[in-house]
Amino acid sequence: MIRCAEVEKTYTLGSERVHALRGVDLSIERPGFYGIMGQSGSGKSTLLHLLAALDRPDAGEIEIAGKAIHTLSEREATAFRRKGLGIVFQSFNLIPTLSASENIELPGLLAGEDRQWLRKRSAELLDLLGLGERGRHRPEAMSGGEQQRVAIARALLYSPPVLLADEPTGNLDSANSDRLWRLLGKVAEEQDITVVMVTHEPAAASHCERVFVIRDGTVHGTIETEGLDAGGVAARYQQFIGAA
Amino acid sequence: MQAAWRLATSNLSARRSRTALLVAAVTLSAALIAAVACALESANGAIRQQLEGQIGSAELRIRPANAGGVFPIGVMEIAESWPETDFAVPRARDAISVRVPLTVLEPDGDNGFVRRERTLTTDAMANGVDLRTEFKIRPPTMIAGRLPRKRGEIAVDAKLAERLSWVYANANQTEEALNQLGVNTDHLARRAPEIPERVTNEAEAVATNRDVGLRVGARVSVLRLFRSPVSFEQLENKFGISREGLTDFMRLFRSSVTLEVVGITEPPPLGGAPQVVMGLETFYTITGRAGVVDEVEVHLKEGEYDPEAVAERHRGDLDDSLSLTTTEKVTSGLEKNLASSNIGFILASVLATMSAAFIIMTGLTTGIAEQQRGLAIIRCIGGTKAQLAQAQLLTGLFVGGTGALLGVPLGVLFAKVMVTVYKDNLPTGLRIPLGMLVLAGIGSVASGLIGAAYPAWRVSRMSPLRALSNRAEGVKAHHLGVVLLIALACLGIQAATIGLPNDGDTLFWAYTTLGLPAMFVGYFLLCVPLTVLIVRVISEPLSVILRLPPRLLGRTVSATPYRHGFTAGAMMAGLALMISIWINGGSVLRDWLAKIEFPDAFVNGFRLAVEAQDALDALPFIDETCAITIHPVQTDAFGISGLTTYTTSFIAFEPSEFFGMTHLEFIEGDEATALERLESGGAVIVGREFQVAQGLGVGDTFACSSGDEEFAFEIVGVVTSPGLELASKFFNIGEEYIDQSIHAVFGSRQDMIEKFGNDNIQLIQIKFNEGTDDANAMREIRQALFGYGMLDAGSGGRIKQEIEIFIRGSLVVFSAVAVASMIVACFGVANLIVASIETRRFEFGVLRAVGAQRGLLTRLVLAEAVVIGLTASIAGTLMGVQGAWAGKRIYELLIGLLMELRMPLGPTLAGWGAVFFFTIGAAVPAVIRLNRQRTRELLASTKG
Repeated sequence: MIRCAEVEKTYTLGSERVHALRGVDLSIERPGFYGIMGQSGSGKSTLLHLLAALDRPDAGEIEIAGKAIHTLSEREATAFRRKGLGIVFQSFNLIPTLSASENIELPGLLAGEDRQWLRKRSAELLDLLGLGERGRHRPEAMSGGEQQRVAIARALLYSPPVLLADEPTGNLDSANSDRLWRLLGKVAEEQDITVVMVTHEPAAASHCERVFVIRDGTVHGTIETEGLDAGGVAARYQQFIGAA
Repeated sequence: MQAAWRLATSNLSARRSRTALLVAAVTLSAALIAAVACALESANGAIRQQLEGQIGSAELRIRPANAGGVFPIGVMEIAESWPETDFAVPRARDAISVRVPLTVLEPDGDNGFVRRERTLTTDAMANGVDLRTEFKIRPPTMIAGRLPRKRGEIAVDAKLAERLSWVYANANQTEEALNQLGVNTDHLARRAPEIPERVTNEAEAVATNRDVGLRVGARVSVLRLFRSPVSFEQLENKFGISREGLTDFMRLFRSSVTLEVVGITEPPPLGGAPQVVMGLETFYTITGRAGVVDEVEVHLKEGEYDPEAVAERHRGDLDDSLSLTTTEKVTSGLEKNLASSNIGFILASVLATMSAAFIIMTGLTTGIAEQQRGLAIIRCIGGTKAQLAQAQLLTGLFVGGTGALLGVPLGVLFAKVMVTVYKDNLPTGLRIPLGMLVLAGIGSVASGLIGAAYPAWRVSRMSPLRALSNRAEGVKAHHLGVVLLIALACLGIQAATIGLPNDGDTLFWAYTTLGLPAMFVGYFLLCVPLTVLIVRVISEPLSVILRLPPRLLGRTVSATPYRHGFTAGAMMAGLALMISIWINGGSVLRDWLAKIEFPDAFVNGFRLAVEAQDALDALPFIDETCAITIHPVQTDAFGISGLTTYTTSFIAFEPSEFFGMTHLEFIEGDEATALERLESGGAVIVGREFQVAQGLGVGDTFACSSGDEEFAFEIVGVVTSPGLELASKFFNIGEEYIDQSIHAVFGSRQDMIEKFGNDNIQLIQIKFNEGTDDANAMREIRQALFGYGMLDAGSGGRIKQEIEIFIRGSLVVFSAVAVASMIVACFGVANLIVASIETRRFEFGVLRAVGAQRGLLTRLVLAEAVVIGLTASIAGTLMGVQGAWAGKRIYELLIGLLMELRMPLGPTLAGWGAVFFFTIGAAVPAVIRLNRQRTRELLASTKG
């Protein structure tokens, strides 16, 4: 489903070169809810951006659902993002001038889809995510949790095989965060897709079935979360981090 | 495209107030262009109607080959015999004097006001016509009564009727009285008031007298003019009769003819001499010039013949002394001249379109910065670069298109109001030039697309990853350097288009198509580094004055120099226009009008009787007089090819008398040599403009044509433009519009008679004795010349004063356009300030959260407006000066006028004041809205 091999990425910040990723190897074979954990500056967001075809690796290969996205041109990458995967950001991820329904329909509108199909699909997704009555509201009239659910609905418009989430609960309280994590797990299971969530919270990671721990630009290990609560995940995570 | 349209409309509808401000700016810009276009068309329509009224609807015209001559009416029968002719219309013209008795109320010591008989007189142009055919080709508009039908009947125009009114006479023919003329002609349709024997109340007397004047039914005395059947030279040579002897003899037989006024017609819209129309027999009775006419017009049978071919076919039927031309030649010349007035329209439209484009560009670019994150998300979820760019272009298209849809009708409405207000000057009413209005609409749409092009390009280059980053990108110094270099390059292009061409044609077109837009873009870009410079200089003192925290203002503006700079750029155009106009206008007043030396007075007439000069010479306060003939000749020395064609006035005089009376400053050659060469013939002296524009000087040949003949004269002197030329134009505004005559060539009357066959006198210039009272002298001149064919007389001082009033009035009108341009920009500035506040709501929230009072936010935004205003003022002033320099070169190469540029302090200060007023005023509503919001709302603004 997702395969990264020897992926490297270097940035230049001012006069300094930063090795964000130093040969990441990662493989996800089947649909499910996965996490990427790491400290600030570990390279987890960089990896997510590469997976989302928002950036290209300096070296290595990335395949998503059998497509070698590291070889895509700018135009191909844009087309791939439209239907090949869904992205959910930490915040500011809705277009403030569009209603919830319009935000969900936006990728389809960009692809020139039939308006009737888009309306029907957005209504389905709003129902699926418990937002049936909120379709006409603009983001400013919705809570943070509701906005994030709209963002998930938008990401699911084309039922992509992969959904990427970059710290999606960063701006939510604990109750809303917990509800969202469960929702992502449910979506992965019911829609039979691969959800990859970047997080630094053990509580979030505990909802995933497997967590990849990133440190210093490489995958330092994986945590199988079955049978672990947030504390258990935190303890395993500390083992990887503490081993540094 | 559907997605792009949806993005554009959602963006526009979500920011309705700012969209409205942008649309308002474009609407006003389109309205300005449309209003100017309609006003121009309406004015041209009035002129066309007047001139077509003179030219008539006939296709062919027979006139003497020698201008000003007459020919036997029998020629009409030749024209009528042509198989192509439907009918022929004769016309004879001459100047006459008209006298009317009126009953008015006048003061009677302490006993109030009593009824008295008074006589008013004035001069007019008499038109003798065939009453059966004339009005078929030239139907006049009646105000009252009817057209003459028989001998002894005349119709006068409203201008003449008003001149023969108590209001005009009582005001002693002053400017005040002149201003009253033509304001309202409704009273001319009413009957003359009944005058009571006596009234005691002055107000009642004045009110009664106000309506006293010539009306339908009045009987007027028309003085029969002296007219010698042959020239004085012929009389003296053939019969030995002296000019003086004949004049004294003929005076004994001068008598008046009484005629009945049966109708009052609309006056000529452009001014000119008052007109009287009558049958040919009546005309002959008055003038004593039986059996001759000035022209015969030939109306061809409907749609059967090509006028040019008919003229060619029948030229041989006429005597060599007559010319047969098509009237289309005249009208095409008119159209060409009317088209030349479009030059100003083209320049104003380019300016207004570019101004609107920059406002849109700045507004949309600010919008991109504001929506950066949203745009990045669209890219992340599959939006293409092309879709984002299309959305920007569609936004521009919507703003431009809506501006066109609203602005063009608004402009037409505004023009309609203006035409209604000035209906007396524009009798043809509102004329709507569809072509120009379409152009105005296209200009608005183009401004939207041009304005959206840069934002579209920027948004298409936006990296989604970088746009998602919260890190604000700092302003790179080298980017500012690049902007400065591009700005200077643009200004260099403008300088090159103005400085390099050596001929007017190349200069005009290079400037209009390249130089002017380059200058506009250059100063617009220059505003960015200028803003940085200005804020560095004034931020600290301004912060102290406005009690702002140190460095806050400087850092705020320096962080967004493009936004602030472009906002200033949008505001500078109106000021630049104002300064440019006043520099050039001031130069025209100072360098042209002020240096013109006028004789003390002029007398103007159609064919002034020679003894008019004798009558003037007999007046005790007159020192000298000089008779002058002005003859139009064609030359290609000036103008823009395809748009303008110029006629030069060949001003003929007796050289020794003229030089004795008129001060000419010789730039090349000298007076003594010029005098000798002029008297021996084949030589002319020319105005300085010829030398400046064409490089013609002493020893060169001046070529011109009159009718079908070409003439060449040797230039024996180059002189500064004298007031004589201007005075002739002052009396002939209407004709000037046909001829578009500029600059004079001065030659001898001997050459005029021999080469052009014209020995008429159109102008007599007069020199008073020392200490003569101007007003009294003019009154006595008018009385002395009653009956000599004088159409008007003017004091040199008054003519100069009125021309100055006209030029100053024009400057005020153009300044109004400049202020309107500032108001257009004001909407753009308001939009940008609102956008600027919107993007910084969080920042303002933080300031409030850490203890800043509302007043501090107000002062901060106003301080930014001051920086914008100062940048706009400095850039606008520089652009105005550079534009004025361009104007100076255009004047120099197109019409040869040399000007010295000087800053007009008053208008500049007024312009700066207006810029600050509009800029700060534009910020006030946004500041009020900002202050109404609570800190929590401001801090929550980043959550989207």
